[in-house]
Amino acid sequence: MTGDPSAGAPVAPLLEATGLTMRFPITRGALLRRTVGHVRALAGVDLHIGPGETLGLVGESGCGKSTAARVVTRLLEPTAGTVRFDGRDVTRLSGRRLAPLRREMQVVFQDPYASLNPRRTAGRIIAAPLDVHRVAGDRRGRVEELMAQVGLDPADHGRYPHEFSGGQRQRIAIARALALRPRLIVCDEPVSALDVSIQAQVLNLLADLQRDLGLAYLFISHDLAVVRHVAHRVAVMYLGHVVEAAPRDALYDDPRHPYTAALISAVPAGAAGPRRSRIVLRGDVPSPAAPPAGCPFHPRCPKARLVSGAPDRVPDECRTLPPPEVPAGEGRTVRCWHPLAGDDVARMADASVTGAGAPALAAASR
Amino acid sequence: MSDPLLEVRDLRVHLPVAGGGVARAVDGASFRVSRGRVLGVVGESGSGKSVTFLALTGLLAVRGARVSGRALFAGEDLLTMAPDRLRRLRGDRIGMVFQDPATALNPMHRVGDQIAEAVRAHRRVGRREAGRHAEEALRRVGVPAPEQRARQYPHEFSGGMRQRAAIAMALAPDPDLLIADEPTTALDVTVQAQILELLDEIRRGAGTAVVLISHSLPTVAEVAQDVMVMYAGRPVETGSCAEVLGRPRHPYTRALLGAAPPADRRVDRLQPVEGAPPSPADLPPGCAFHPRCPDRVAACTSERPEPAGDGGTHTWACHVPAVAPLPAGGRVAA
Repeated sequence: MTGDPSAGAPVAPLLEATGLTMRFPITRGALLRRTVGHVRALAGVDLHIGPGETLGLVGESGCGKSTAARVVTRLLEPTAGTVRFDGRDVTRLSGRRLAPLRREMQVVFQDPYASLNPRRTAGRIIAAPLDVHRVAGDRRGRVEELMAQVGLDPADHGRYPHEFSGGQRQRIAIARALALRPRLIVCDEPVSALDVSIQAQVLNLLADLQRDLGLAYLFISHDLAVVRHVAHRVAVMYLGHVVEAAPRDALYDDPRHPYTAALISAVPAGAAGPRRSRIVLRGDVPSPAAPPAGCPFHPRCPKARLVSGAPDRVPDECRTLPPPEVPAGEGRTVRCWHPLAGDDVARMADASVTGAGAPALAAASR
Repeated sequence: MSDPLLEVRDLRVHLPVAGGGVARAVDGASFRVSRGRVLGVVGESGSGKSVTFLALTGLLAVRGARVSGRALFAGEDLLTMAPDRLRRLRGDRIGMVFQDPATALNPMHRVGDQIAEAVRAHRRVGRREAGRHAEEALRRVGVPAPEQRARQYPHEFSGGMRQRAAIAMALAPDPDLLIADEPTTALDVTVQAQILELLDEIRRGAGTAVVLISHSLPTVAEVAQDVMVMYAGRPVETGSCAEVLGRPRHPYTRALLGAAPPADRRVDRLQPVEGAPPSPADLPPGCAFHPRCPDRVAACTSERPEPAGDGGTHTWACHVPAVAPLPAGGRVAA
């Protein structure tokens, strides 16, 4: 997107979340519900977004990225931690006192089929936030203006969601989010349900709106190529932790956390040329109801195995102690005992060919 | 593309539409699948990529569907075969894997028993022997501790492990052809990479022919040797992966490459394809892509382009195929 607000002089963040923790109880029993454990969706997350900036939040399913979105928009109240919007603590606001915040912060969800009421016309859907917040003025004119702004034909305001294509429906959702002139829009996988040719239309629209309206985005996605395209800064989440946060180019060109490096190497490059070396991680993401001790990534970490020198051994600190957050220059932080350096990425890729995946692959090629 | 295992000629699948009319879900598809190669089938939703393979395997559960054409599988026509014979072929010589592994596994039965049952449906082996086959199949797809895993239920498996189990079940009878329909779409990025590696190993190890159906050209490019790009029920471009991705001739292929953000670098602006794909019940005349095509000429609006080629494996269906190779970095100029 245009410019890079994070490059200029430091500005006060629009949104600042500190130490966010979210624990959901796991309950058993129908009559006498008792809590038998907790899912720790967020384990002390720090995030900040400047005015007009896009923060990309990436991670695999269950890493807590959608919970983070729901907490910063105050759809959920965090177990611990604070959320500040424009310098104001909004962590414990509830009911009517949340209304002003809702006007400043809007959400666009993944599935435009599910997020639009099928029995309302596009015009009424887009005007709904104006009704809820009792905004005075020319309703019809504002709706037509919003529709034009997102590339819809204002003459279609009387049509129903099913009469629009998937990409157009996402435009309706975006127009609704814009209705109250917010300063921040949280986009939760906004293009994941769209076909490739349509994705680009919506991504370009979001870029144009940011340029014209100075919007800030919290852009949540599992698609690292899409995040690279839209974000100024990127935070990578794993099992409720932000494991690395950095300006976009620094993160993609020189990842410092082993998980970031593995995620980037797993993205299909889409070129017919030679394949890049890929770090294949062993196993799956552990359950957030029973996160591993020490570093949450240690059971899958290829770097820990390079450090120990054995494919089945992990250094004691990784296994037992939560890793410290290390500043790594130029506005980036890494939460790791052994951040990547030198030719670690190449060595981890080699190791994943000859080490981790080898027994299975050898068996398959028999 | 030597040694075609499956050769499809002019496949058409016409489906009835509520209120009269016909949806031309597949409208003249010809292609080959070869032993020891992965054919990547790429298209957006509604392009006919899944319907093509459901029709070929007799799994198209639509009343009044009309399927025509020829589909020679190891010399026999799948489309005229007795349903009984096709059912035996399916599972035995043609394995299938779908997007959601949960639908392939019965939640009430142990994973190992389900795979063993798949083996016993096609091989005359005893219960114990089939159980050993099942463990071996799980080991082959990289499930750790297969002896214990075989005794577990599907809910005890993670998403990635479940897809491995579904692949193990499809592979247990040693099929000649594996059809995988969006096998990685529901999985996380790092697990996707594992499953793609696995498909590559299956092809190289056992010489299995693999069809990988996906909406994502980059995903297909990771493992496929051959690529077929579909639009509105027709293949618009086919060829080797290097030909189709390196020297795309069809404007739709080029548009797909320009619309997706590249993984390895940043571009200032994406080049979207304007408009949306047509409904199969209401295809435009001429070339179905012409309303969205930046290169269209008068002929495109009235005459349907027939497949043309370079005499080798690379074919395209377009009146105005691009001649210039893609600029360095594989992206279409604005």
